[in-house]
Amino acid sequence: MTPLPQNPDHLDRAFGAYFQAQVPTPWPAPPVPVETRTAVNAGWSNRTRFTLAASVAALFAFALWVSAGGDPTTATKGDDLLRNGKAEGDGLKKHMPVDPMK
Amino acid sequence: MRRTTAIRERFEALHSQYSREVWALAYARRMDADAALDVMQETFLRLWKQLESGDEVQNPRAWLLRVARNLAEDLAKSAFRRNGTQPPEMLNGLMSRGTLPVEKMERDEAFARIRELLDELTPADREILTLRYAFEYDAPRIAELLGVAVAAVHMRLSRARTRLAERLSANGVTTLP
Repeated sequence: MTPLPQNPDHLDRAFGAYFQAQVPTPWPAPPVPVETRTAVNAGWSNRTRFTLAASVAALFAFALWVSAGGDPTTATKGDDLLRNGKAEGDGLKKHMPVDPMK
Repeated sequence: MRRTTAIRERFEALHSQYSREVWALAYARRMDADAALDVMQETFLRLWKQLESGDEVQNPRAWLLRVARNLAEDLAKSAFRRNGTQPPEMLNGLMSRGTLPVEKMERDEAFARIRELLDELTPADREILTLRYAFEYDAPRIAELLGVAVAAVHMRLSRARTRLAERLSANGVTTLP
């Protein structure tokens, strides 16, 4: 132990010991940035965005094609659907259950 | 790829050149070696992001010190919210150097007292003391780092040292390890 504060050299040594005990040993290397992961993420993100855009475009094109009638040789027209699906009153009655109260 | 390599080389050079100064600044403000280390690493991560984004850093040293100062202040505010006025660890960083238990206890006690008294100095004085005693920088180098005259460094160093010695004596610390 060293008397205080008569000897400036000892004071210097004590302060040196104190401050040097605080310094990280060994001195840390530069932090490792995550640029690689970021680059991969950026690539993935771009691919995802492109896929999504392509899907939306395809869906939109299909919707346009359908609304324009699509292929006239194979598509069923709305009139046909209505005509074929028309319900006849008598026909329906045939399938109605018998009223047990009668 | 070449750009990333160039950025990394510059980044590592700046870390080698300024990391101690950044740590000293953060340490002088927080008096906590681990917190200073966190501030230093975070500061350099932000520098990396800045370099990577392509934004030119005109004066890297000034940039680093400004970011470190802000981070240290933010950390102090959040630490205050968590811990009140007491620093998290009074004996932070007092690692064993293989001394006897009694000697170690005396040294830890003296170091804790030094640390308490350092809290009473200004951050500027603590920064000079840190640069001088932690890294053994001489006065011209400290003057260059802090942008002050060599005579001013001598004066502030002497004043901080005397003040600290007086306070140690006044607080009953008659011996140091």
